[in-house]
Amino acid sequence: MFFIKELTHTILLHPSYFGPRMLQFLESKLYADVEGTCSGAFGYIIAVVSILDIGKGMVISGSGQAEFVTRYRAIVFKPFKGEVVDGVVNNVNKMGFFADVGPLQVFVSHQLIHPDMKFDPNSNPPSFASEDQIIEKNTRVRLKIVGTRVDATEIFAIGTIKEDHLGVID
Amino acid sequence: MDEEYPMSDPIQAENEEEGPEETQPERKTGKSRGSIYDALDDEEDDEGEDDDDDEEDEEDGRHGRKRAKHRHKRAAVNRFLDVEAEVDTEEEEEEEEEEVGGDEFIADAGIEGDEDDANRRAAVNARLDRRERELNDQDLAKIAQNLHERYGRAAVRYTGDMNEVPQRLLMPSVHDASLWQVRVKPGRERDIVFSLMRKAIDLEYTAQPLSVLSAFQRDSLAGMIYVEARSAQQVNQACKGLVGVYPSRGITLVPIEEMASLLQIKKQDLTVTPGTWVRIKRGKYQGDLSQVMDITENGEDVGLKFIPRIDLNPRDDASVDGRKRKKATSGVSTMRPPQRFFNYEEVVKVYGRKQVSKRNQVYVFQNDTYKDGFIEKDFKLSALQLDDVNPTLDEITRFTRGQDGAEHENAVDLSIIAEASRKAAITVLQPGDHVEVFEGEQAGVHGVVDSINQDVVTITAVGVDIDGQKVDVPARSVRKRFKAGDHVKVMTGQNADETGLVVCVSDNVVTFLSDMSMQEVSVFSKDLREAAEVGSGTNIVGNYELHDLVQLDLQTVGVIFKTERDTFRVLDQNGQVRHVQPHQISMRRDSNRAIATDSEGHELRVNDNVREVDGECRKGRVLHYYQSFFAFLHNRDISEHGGVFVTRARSLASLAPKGNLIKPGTDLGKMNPHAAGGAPMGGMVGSAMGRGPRDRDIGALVAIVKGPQKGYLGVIKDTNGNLARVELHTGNKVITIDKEKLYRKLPDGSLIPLSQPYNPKWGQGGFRTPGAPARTPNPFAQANGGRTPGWTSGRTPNPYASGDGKTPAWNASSRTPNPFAAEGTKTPAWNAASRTPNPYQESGKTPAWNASSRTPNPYQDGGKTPAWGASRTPNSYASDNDRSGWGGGWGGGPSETTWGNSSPERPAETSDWTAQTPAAIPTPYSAPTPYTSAATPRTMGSGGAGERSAPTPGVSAGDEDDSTPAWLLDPLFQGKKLLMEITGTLGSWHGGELDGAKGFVSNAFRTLSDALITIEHIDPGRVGTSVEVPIMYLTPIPPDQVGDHAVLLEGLGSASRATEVILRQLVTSRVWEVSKPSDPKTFTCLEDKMVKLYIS
Repeated sequence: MFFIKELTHTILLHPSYFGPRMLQFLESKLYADVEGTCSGAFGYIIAVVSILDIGKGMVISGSGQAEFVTRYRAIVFKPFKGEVVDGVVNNVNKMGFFADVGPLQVFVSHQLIHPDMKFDPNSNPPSFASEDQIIEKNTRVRLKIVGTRVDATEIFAIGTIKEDHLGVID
Repeated sequence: MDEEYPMSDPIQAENEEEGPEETQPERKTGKSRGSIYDALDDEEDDEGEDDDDDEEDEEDGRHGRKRAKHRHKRAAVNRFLDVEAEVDTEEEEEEEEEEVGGDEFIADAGIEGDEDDANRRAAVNARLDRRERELNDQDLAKIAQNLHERYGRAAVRYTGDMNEVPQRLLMPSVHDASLWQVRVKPGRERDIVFSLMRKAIDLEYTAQPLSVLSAFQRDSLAGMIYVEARSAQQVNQACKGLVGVYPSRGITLVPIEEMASLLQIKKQDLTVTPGTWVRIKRGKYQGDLSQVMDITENGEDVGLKFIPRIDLNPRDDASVDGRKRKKATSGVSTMRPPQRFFNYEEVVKVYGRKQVSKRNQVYVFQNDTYKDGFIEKDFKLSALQLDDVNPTLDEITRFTRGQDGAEHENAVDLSIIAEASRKAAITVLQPGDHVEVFEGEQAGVHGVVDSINQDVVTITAVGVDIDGQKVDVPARSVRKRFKAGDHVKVMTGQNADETGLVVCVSDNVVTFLSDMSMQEVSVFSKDLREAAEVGSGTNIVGNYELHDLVQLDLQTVGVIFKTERDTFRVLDQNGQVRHVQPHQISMRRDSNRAIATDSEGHELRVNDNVREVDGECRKGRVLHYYQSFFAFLHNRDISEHGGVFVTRARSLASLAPKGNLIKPGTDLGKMNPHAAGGAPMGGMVGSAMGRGPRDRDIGALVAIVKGPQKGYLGVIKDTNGNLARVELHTGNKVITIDKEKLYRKLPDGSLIPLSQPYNPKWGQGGFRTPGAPARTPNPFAQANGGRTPGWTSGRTPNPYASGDGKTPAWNASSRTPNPFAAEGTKTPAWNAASRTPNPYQESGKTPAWNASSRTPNPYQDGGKTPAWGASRTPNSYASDNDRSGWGGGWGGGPSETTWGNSSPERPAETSDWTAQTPAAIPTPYSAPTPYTSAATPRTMGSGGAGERSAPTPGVSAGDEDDSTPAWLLDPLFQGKKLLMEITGTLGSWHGGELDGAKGFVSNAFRTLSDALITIEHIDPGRVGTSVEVPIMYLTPIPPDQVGDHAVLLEGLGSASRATEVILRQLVTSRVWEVSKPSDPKTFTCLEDKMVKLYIS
C-alpha cells in the first residue's frame, strides 16, 4: 500500500560544500540517499514529494562536517498481509514464480497456484500453464500477499493466486 | 509372645538394616541369633514351669503372687534385654544379663539355702527390684513406643484375617525366606530357572525334596538367577548338579529392601504395535529405521521390516561358501554396505543363484527373508530402540517408496510418523504457542497456549463462540498451528535454524520457503516456531561460511553452497558436488583480490555481475575466481546447488560496462575538490589498485608467545585471515597458528606484536645506501621509460605500507608519494639515483665520479628525475662523511634515532593524509630537521611549468603531489617574501583561474588537515591583492639571475637553512655561486635548493 509519509534523514556535509550552492547540493544528496531505499518500518521509499525542512546545519566539532536533519515528505510503499497487488512475473521455476511488484519481490509457491495450472518444464521460457492461461516471464499477474518478511533493508513477500479474481491479468 | 514382637522385630530389622552388605557368615549368626531367641523363649517358658513346679513343691503354693511376680520379672528381664540390645551397647547388655543371672542365682541360692532368711531377703530384693523395674518399665514403655513409631512398618504383621491387605504389609521381612543371588552362565538364566523348576518337581516327593521356595531371573540382569530359600545351604543343594550354575562364585543374600525392587516390573508403556517405527540398536543395521510387522505372543520377539544392507562387493573367500561367513562378517564390520533394496538380479549376480531361493513372493538369502526389497527379520525387543525413534521424512519416504523406486500415489503415509512424533510434540509446546486441537471433543478449536501442566494444556481459545475462554485439552491432541505467510524457524532436525515463510500447511506438515536458499522445505509443525529473525545460524559452520571458497585438497577448491548441521555441500571447480565436513577443508581461500579476464579481455573482479557468452548464457554474480580461470558464480534464480555454479572466466562477459563507472550515490569524499586532487590522481588510482600487496607479515621472523609451541621461532609462510602458517626453525615443521600468538622478532632480539607496524629499514637506512647504486644505475633510463624513479620508489619501499600492510595506507602512499612518505623511506634507490649525477661530488672530492660520464648531466634533462634524486642526496653524503657540512646537517648517527622516534606516529597519520591533502602534514615533518628540507628540491626540479607539460603525464602526476612545499610552514621561512607560483589548480582549485599566478608569501596558516598560504600577487593587474592558496598548489620560484636574492632551502656549509643569499655567478646550468649578502665568501649551490626572494 502506498502512503505519503513524513520522514527525516540526516545528512553529513563536508565543509567544502559550505557555500552558495549548499542547499542545492543538500537536496540532490537527499534524493540520492533516500529514494529507492527500503526500511523495514516504512517500506520502500519510492519518491520524495517535497522537502519540508532542510534543517539547520550543525557543525560537528572535530570533523568540521555539518549535520543536517532534513524533514521531507515521501511516497512509501509498504506491503501488507492480505493486500492484493499487481505484479510482473520475473522468474518461473518448478517451485513457483517470483513476481516483481514495483520494488518488492513476491514469491508465489506452486502450492498457492491453482492446481489447474501445472508447471511445464519443457516450455521455454518455463511456465505455469492451464487450459487457457499461461504464466511465464513478463506475464502480469494479480496476487494477494499472504506473508511478508521484513528485514532492516529488504522486504520479501509470498503471495497467492489461488483465490477468486487473482491470477493472470489480461 | 505376641507382645514381645514389637520389640524383637525392630531389633532384627535394624540389624538387617545396619548391614545390608553383610556377608553370609554374619547373616548366619544373625539368623541363628534369631533362632536362639526363639529357643530362649521356649526355655524360659519351660523354666518358668519348672520353677513353678519347684515352688509348688517346696513352698506349697505359698505365693501365687510370687509366681505372678516371677513371670512379671521374667517379662521385665526380656524387655530389659531387648531394649539394651536396641541401644546397641553390648557391654551393658552383658552386664544386664549378668545381673539377671545374678538375680536368679540369688533366688536359687535362696531356695537352696536358709529358706526363711533367703525368702525374706528375696522378698526384700524382689520388692526393691520391682520398684526399680516399675520405674524402668515406664522408661521402657516409652522407648518401646518410640521404637514402635520408628519401625512401625514391620511391626504390624499380616495375620491373614484382613479383608484387604495393604501392599506395604506384603513386603518381605526377616521372617520370610531370603532371596539368594546365584551366578549362572549369561544367556542361560531362563533355562536354568526352568531346570530348577523341573528338579524341584522331580524331587518333590522324594526323601530329600528341594527346600527352595521359588526361583526367577530378570532379563535386565544377565548372568544371575534368584532363588528364594531359607538358607544358602538349601540354595547350594538345589543348584548342585545343574550345568551353567556357578555356586562357587558365591551365593549372595539379597538385602530385604532390595528384594521387592527385584520383583518389581518396571512399567513400560512402550507398546509395540505393528506399524510402529523402531530403530535397531546393534549389529550391521545399527541405527536403521525399521517398521514393526508383527509381535510374538510373549512380546519378546518382534518381526521387523527394513531396508537391507547387502554387501554387493563381498570378499571372494567370504561370499559363496557359508562356512567362512563368520570370519567375513568380522572383517566387514569396518565398512558396512549401504542401505539398498533387495534386488534379486543383483544378488544373484554376486552370490550366485544357489544362494538365493524363492518361495512364493519371498526370497530367502543367507537365512534372511526378503520381500518387496525389504528384509524381514525377527529381533528381540531388547535389541530395539523404541523411544526417541524420530524417523525423518527422508527415511520414511525412502521406506514407502519401495523397491522399484517409483513413488506410490499415497506414498508418504505420515500418520504413523506423526503419531510417533506426537509424544515429542508435547515437550516442545510452550506458553504463547499458537495451537489447534485436532482430535477429541474440542477438535477444531484453536488458541494460544496458556499453561502446560504435564499432559494437559490450557489454551485460551480464539474463535467465534468460545473466544477468550480457557480450555483444557490433552497435550497430545493439540498441534502447533501455522498458516501461510507466517515466518517460521526450524528448531530441531536437519533443517535446524532454517527460517522461512510458510507457503502451505497440510495437517502437521508445514512447507515453507527458506529465506536463504529460496527452496521449499517441509517439516513437521512440532519442529517449527514462529520467529521474527532471519536465519543466519546455518550459514556458518565452524570457520566457514556459505559461499566461501575452500581448498579441499591440493588440486581441488570449491565453493560452499549449502551448509547443513555440521557438513557442507561444496561445488568444486569441476562442477562436482561434494559433501564435506569442516575438518576436511584444509583452508579458506581469499579471492577478494583475484582478477580474471573475461571473454573480451576485460578485467573481472569478484562481485561483478556477469553472464556467460556461450553455453547456457547464465547470469550471475561472481563469488570467487580460482587461478584466474575458474569463476564461481551465484544466481538465486538457479535452483540447483543453491544457485552456485562454476564456469570458465574466459566465457564470461561483464553485464555492466566497467572502467570509469562512477558508483551511484553521492560520495562526499569523491566529490570534494580538495580530496579529489584533480585528474592525475584518478589516473593513478586505477594503476595503483592493480595489485594489492600480499600480506606484509609473510616472511616475517616471529616468535610464538602462547600455546604449546610457545618460545619457538619461525617464519611466516602464509596467512589466511587471522591464521598464519609458520615454518618453525626447529623440527622443520609448518604449523598453522593464530596471529595473536605471534610476535615479530626484531633483529635486536626484542619482540613486538605482529599487529604493530614495523619497518625493517628503519635504523638501517644510513648504512644501506652505499650499496644501492646497483638498484638504479641510470636514472635516465627510467626517465626515458616515461616513469620517474620517484614513482616506483614511491611504491615499493614505503615504510608505511610495510608498516600495517593494509591497503589504505598502501594505496595512499603510492598514490601520493608526498615528501613525507618519501622522506620516511630514505631508500637506497633514491640515494642511488641522486648520487650518480650529483654535481657536488663532481665538483670536488670524488674525481671518480667525474669519470662516471655514463651519467650525463641530469640538469639538462629537464631535471625531472635527477632532481628528485638530488633531494635525497644528503643521506649519501652522510655516508661519505668527508663532507663535513652535509654530514653535520644530517647528524650522522642521530639520524637513526630521529626516525625511530617519530616512527610510531607515522602510520597512524598516513590515513589522515590520504583523506586530505598531503600538505596537511602535522608538525614532526616541518620541524627544522634536514629531512624536511630534503624533500623540497624535488619540487624545484619540477618547478618549471614547461617541464611538467612534458609528454609524460605520469611523471607530472607524480610530481604534482610531491611538490608541496611544506617547508613554507617552517618558522624559519616565516616572514620571508618567498616567491611562489600557483600551479596545478587546473580543473580543481578555483577552476584553475589563478593557475600560473605569481606572488610572495605573506603568511602561512596551518589548519588541522590543510595549510593555507597567503600570497600577495606580484603579477601586473593583481598587484596589491592577496589570495589564500592551499599549500599543495604552490611551487617555489628559483632564482635565475645574477643578483637575485634567494633563500637556501637546505643548510650548506657555513650557511644554515633559510639563509638569505645573493646569486653571484652561474657555474653551470642551474648551479650558482652564491654568497651571503654580508659575506663575500662564495659557495656553490643548486638553483633548485633556493627560493627566490621578492625584492620590492
